[in-house]
Amino acid sequence: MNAFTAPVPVSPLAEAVAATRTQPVGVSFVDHSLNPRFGCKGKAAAAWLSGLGLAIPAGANRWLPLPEGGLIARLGNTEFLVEGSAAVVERLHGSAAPAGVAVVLRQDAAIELSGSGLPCLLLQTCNVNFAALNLAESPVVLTSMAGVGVTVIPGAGSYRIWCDGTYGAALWETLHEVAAG
Amino acid sequence: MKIMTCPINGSRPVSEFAYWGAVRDMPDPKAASDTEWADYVFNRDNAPGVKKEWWCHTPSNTWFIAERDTEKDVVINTWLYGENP
Repeated sequence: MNAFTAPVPVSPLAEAVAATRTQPVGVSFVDHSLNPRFGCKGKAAAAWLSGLGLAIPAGANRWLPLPEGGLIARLGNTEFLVEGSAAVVERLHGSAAPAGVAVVLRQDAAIELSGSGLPCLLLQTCNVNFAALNLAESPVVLTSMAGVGVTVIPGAGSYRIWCDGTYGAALWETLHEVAAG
Repeated sequence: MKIMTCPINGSRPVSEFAYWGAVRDMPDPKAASDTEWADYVFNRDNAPGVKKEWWCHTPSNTWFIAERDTEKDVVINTWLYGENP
């Protein structure tokens, strides 16, 4: 008999990454899609996560770093994205969500962009003027990038981007083409 | 470029939004006559003027209400359902 073998996780960007091995000049692309991740939403989500020991960003569209590494992002008023260590994420997945909390399946494509060409790439593909944001406020931006709905956390040196995994390859390839153009 | 203001995400191009129809009070399905129910389901007044409409900021799936002058194509105000305009 064949022993059961758990499926090996595959990034939704795997084929796109393989097809674009050469990084465009000025912009670096990193695939973080396989990072452990948890999502939930609902009126009771903030109180539930707080009860599990997580610090909650005070306002809508803000994020906080986790002590163990990773982050918690508040998407709008009542939805949360947690990305961090496997221990934290597994603890959240293992905790029964109470009434008023719905667990959100997160199968994102997650990209990190950095480099001197990043501001130009953002201007060409996105509607938000990221240069006008105050990074001290830890903003989370939900917008459209190259026609794909994305969640963006801008940083001083690099930007993190999440999108629906099924759109990930298209976004990755489009950003590559624009950055290379 | 037309700009609309999401109550959560701020001002964005209207291409980030989807229109989902006028805000209308639903009659009680048990009490309404067939004529009243059919009017609610099928009929729209189509008259230009100031309307309250459902809109959605699609990247964040934020649903809100916009007060819009459909004659002048001007968005007057936007707010979350359940909050005061």
